Amino acid sequence: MSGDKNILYPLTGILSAVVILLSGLIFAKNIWCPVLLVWFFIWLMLFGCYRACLKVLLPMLVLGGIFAGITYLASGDGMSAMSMMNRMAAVFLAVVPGTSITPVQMARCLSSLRMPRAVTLGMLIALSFVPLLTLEIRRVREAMVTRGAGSIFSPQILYRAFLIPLITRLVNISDTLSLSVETRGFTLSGSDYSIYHLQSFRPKDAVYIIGIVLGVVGMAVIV
Amino acid sequence: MRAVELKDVSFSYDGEKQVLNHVSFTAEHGEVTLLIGPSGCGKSTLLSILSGIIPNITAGNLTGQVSVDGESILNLGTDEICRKVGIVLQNPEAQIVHKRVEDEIAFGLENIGLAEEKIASQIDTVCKMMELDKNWQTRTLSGGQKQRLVTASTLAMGQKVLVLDEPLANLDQTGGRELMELLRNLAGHGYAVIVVEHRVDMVLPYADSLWTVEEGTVRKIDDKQEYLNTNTQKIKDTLPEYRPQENLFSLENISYSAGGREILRDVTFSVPKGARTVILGENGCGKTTLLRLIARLNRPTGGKIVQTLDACFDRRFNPDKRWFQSVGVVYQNPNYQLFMPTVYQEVRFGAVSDEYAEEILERFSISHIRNRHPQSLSEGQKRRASIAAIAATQPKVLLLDEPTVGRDYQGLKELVELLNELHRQTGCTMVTVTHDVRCAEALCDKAVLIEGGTVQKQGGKELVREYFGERS
Amino acid sequence: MKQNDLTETLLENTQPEAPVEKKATKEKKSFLGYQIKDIVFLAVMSAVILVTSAFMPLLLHIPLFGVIQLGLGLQFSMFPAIGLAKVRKPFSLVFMSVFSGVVLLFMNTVMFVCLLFCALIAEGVSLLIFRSYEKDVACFVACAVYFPLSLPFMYVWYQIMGGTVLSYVSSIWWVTALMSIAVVALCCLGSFLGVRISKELKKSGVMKK
Repeated sequence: MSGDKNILYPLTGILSAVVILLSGLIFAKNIWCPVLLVWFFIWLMLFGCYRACLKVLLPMLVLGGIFAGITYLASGDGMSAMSMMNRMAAVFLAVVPGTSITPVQMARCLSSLRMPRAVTLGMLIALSFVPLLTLEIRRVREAMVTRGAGSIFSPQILYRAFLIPLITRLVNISDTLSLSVETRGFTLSGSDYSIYHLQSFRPKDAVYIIGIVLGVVGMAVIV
Repeated sequence: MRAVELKDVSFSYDGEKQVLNHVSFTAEHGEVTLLIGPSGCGKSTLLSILSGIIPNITAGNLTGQVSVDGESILNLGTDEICRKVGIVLQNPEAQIVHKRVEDEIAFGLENIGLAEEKIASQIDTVCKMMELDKNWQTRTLSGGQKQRLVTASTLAMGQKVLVLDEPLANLDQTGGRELMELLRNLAGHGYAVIVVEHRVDMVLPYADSLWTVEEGTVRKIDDKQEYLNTNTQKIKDTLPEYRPQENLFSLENISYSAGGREILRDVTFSVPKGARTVILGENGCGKTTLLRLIARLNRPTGGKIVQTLDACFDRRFNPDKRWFQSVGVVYQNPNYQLFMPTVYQEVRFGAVSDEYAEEILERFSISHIRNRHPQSLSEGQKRRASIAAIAATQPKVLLLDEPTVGRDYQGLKELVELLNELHRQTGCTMVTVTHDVRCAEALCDKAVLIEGGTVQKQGGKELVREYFGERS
Repeated sequence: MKQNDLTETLLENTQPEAPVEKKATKEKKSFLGYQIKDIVFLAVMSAVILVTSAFMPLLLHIPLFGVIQLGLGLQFSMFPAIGLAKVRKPFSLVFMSVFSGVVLLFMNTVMFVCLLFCALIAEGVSLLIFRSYEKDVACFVACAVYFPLSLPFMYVWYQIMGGTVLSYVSSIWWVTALMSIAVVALCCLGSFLGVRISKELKKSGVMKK
């Protein structure tokens, strides 16, 4: 999901995602939980994540509604259905701060906190690699079709014509990528490095996190 | 002082087979040095040694002396060597770590600990040099732009020895010429530029010295012109003149857009039955997209493609097994299309009969490697195996996307002869997308020039000559 | 600016401000014995796990015990097995859990923490039995055990956090037992496939140690 980038300090984003998810799950059975979730939604919108908020709104309502409906049909209990809806909404809202953080900002933030470079590099690649990987999966599937290999749902075809070429490609890409990283001076320990465009914790981030925490505290007081 | 000097260097990956045998090589500051040789001869190994990849990352038995600017690099780690020698590897797509051009260029500069304002200045400078916009998203770049980006990322680190492994593989004539002019300019500023490239015709006019690598030995060629004359001759077409037949595909006002971008518009031309059609054009003009539309891998967003292969294919657009038995698609990268455990099984998979699979193995001269795993083959053998596997289905149409990329002159000649022989024996219709001047004419009965997403000109061999003549 | 001026700027910026005396060193720079190529491969495998598990949020609240593990068991055992078969070092599985966990942290924090513990336990069990990952069976065991270990964690979580339906469903013993058996079987299959693919790619020379 693209959209609101570099709005939140990366650690603020992670922290708020965890708080939103856990509080949504903990208070899911409470009648006031939807109010808390609406508060989170408004707060995220106010702090610039409006594109991501609007993007998750429809799937949140549709999927939440479907699961709440199934729960109601299975249990006949309105409260259970509501708590299901709340949990679903909490999951979707927790994803919103994550979409505002780019992999490079996350890596730079963790590097500035002197996190081992092996970890920051791994995270950076795992996150940045997703578009290339999606492309590779599409290419392998397409190549498989052009060879007349048949359906991917056949276990033999899946193994032979899909997994083998895909993993072969991934091994090749990984070898090239590691050479590229290493020949551009990246080391796992030792040398000094600088950080370009480091995003720092700003008063705005403090206000944002205070708003999130206040919501949770308010809810705890009501409960 | 010599920029790079290798003295009596020998190397073996496994301790048994010598890839380089008592090799000596030099490159000077202020010069462009071109290294050439057949695929698998040890060129990349040589580059790996002088950029420190061997022995720091790739292990093996290395003996002899390797020095850069008079200092031995055998005792240095890659993090130190990379400050002296910059290397641009093959396959640019797999080397990009970041999502934005600016961050990608900054990556190496952060690693060498450059101050933030200097990083910003370097990014602006290399972006201007390589005609890149620092705000571009890396995943939306074309193949040529990706090549320019990885070159820019290395260039920004400011090493005075630059090593480039097949930098023109993804570039068309114009892009290749621009890159070579830039490298020439860098050499003028005291850089030592070492280029490994198969497209000798494009690089040699810019090179000061020429070295060949063959069977583990390295030799300096003194007479560049003679070498150029003997190794860059256009491959001759040995097939008789094409006799016009009915059209197999008629493309009528085809347009195609993706991601809000118009790639093709109002494309109208036909593919005659039994002819060899070549699609020409610069990087990003829509050649490959056009091939994909003919192969039904994408659906046109406007216009229609009429086919006369079989009426049953008109019933549904989505291609099935039968369609691909009639229309063989050969990818630029053979790795995608090879998946069986042996070459024989690969060719037999989808073959019209076991006997025909055997015949194809013989015809493609891959019978001797029939029991080997396709992924264990050399790039040239993989290419043969992938075309053989497609040919074994006896397709009526063969669509080839840049089949000659990364091939040395000898390999290229063999491949063109193989394709033409296949065409002669089976009478299949061939459509080839290429920007390789050496072979385009030899694979052409009809040529279609695409520019700006539309058909600019159509013709025969004379169009190929005109197109490449204008750009050389 | 002309090309000449650009080249000069390029060189100027990267000149050291003061000459630095450096001793030629060739210490192997690694982190816990890992080299960059190891980390990159594990990260690539983690990305594959992430992409193939993109539908996880849909499974999160299906009121059936073990449904997440059943939906994701194959990819959470096969790709780690390939990673482990190439990078046969302690903590490889933990690294993959951390790398893929960045996204899980936002989608399912509990699952992230749970998988981190599972990776540690799975590696512990396998290394205790086999001492190292030198043998394929050690990789197989670690990856076959890794994801099913999340079942007891999730069981406890459902009991604490789940609504009426979740508690009800997870309290039917035979549903729990059946789902658990299915998950274990699926993960064994995934792990086996992962090791088999690695073996084939090693034989063909694609995958080097």
